[in-house]
Amino acid sequence: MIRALFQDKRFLVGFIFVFGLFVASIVYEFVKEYLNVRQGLLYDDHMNLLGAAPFPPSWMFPLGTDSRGYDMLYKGIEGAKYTIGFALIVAFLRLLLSSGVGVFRAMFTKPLPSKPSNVLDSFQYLPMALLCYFILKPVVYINPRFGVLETLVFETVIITLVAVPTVSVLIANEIEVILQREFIVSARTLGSGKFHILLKHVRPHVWPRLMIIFVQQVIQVLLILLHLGLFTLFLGGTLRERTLTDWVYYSSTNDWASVFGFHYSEVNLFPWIPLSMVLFFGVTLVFLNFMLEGMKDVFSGRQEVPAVRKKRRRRDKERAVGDASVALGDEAFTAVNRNDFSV
Amino acid sequence: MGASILHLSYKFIWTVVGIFLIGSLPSLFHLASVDFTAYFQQLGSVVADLLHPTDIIYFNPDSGLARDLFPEIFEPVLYSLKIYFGAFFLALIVALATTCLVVFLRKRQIRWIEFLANIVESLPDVFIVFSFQLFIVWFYQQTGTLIMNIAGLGQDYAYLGPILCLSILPTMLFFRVMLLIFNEELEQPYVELAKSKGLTKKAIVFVHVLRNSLIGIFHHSQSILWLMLSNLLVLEYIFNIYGITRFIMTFFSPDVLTVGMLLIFVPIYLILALGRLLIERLTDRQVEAS
Repeated sequence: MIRALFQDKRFLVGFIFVFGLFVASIVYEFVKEYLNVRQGLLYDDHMNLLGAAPFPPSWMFPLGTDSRGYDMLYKGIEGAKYTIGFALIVAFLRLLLSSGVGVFRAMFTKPLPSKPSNVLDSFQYLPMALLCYFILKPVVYINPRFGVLETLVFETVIITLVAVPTVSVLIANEIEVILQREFIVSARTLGSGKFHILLKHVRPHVWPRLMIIFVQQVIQVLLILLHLGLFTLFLGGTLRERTLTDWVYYSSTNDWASVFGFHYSEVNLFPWIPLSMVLFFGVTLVFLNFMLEGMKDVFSGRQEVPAVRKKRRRRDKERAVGDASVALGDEAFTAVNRNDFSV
Repeated sequence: MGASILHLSYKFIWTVVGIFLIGSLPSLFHLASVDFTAYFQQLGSVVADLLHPTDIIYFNPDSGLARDLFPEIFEPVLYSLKIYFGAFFLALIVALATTCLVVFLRKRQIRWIEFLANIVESLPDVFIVFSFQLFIVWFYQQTGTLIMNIAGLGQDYAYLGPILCLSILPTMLFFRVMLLIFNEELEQPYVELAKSKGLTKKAIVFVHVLRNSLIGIFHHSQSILWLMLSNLLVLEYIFNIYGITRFIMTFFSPDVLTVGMLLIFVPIYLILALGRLLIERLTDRQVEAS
């Protein structure tokens, strides 16, 4: 199953990108002294001043620089581990909690009427980012009682819990569908207990769905993070400073959403600064969706596993070659005498 | 179990209950601790307030000024709904038209188009709105003509920009769904019968397949409408237009949140329920499981 997954082109492409980005982000921390990360002023060969940061996208700075001269490309690579890491952790926690609740609901309680699913429908009418915004705002907007770690933990908990109701219903439904299948009924007739059915029969069928839901949750969390960054609610807390006319929002971490939110106000002057962060988000999301499509294909059996494809190709080739060997030679056209049976 | 007015009303009431429960949710958290008594108190006060809707007031956080919630809230609600449904129906029509044309292309070309639609669909809404705005600005810088109003300022309402922008995502989603449904329909036996009778593919597609696909398309409308809501939030923020989500964000209070959600929910639910009833009565087929 996992091997088939890694042989799927679309999944592989998506996975390599996301994993590669994450690894690059970690490696970056070790090699950043050797890279040209910051260039405040630009001089030409005769030491004449050419320009000052921020520089728009060019050959030297593919995504431009910010007002202090930091290359946006490196800023993006640096922030990748925080953003993607946070998304992975929250998605995992969501899955864990929702599976617990979902399994419990599907297996150990009587099928409830449609009431809860209708109540939970109401979640759809409020954008999750908005709900998280209201709950997180008092804590994240620089509260002297909370440090970076506590704010981070609180954010993780809230963003996880917000999705647990809907995702657990999803998982419970999946399990209920599996429980309807014939082999479960026969297992039950043969006398296996609930836990045994759960571990031996339900689990192998529910794993693929869980993995798909995991990737979907990663995508959702990344989107929430982006929206929260837009509303200047940063990971690890939003620090505010008052300039002459405005508030300026900093963040303690350098993840994409924070950098984006920080520079959002500059979009009219230096659009590439926030846009480059959005680009990182966008590209990552596109590749994650590739992964998702690949997973869906593989798990629904629509995709022909390469091993099967090779076997089928070989069989078709043999059949074709076999036909050709039944060539029509001269002896096929000789008259067969009724009395002559030695042909 | 098909749809019936009773069933739909039942669903409606329970969802309203859910909205009330969610509306007071922010009061559950006092900074980082959970306070259930405050939550239930808040819930009770919201319900009580809604018994006298004309008395509800909302506060401007900066000036401390209090205003009546009704009828002030109707203005942003109507504005948002106009943009929201405008974008939805625009997306529906454009996607339908495109699908009807695309069906006649070669398989390879169709796969390419699907691939592109897939990519646009997976881009975050912030990206799309941003690019849209920047494109209009860039176009203005190059040619000197402002195609459309891309930001709202006070009483100056922008319509075309937000509607176009909001319709991009649902168009892609609808397109993908429609292509799938159309292809499924085209494999049905009645299509083969029609072909054998000599009907042109054009006639088959535009008359019969279209009509039968509407059901499946409607089924997906619900999830697409829901997705558009979070899109709407980002749109209103970046375009700086004062719709209902901006209103909720600026003048936040449990009353405002609950009422706001209700005012968004009711029109959407009404349209979905009406559509479902209509389709089930007219085509005698069921739309979804419950």
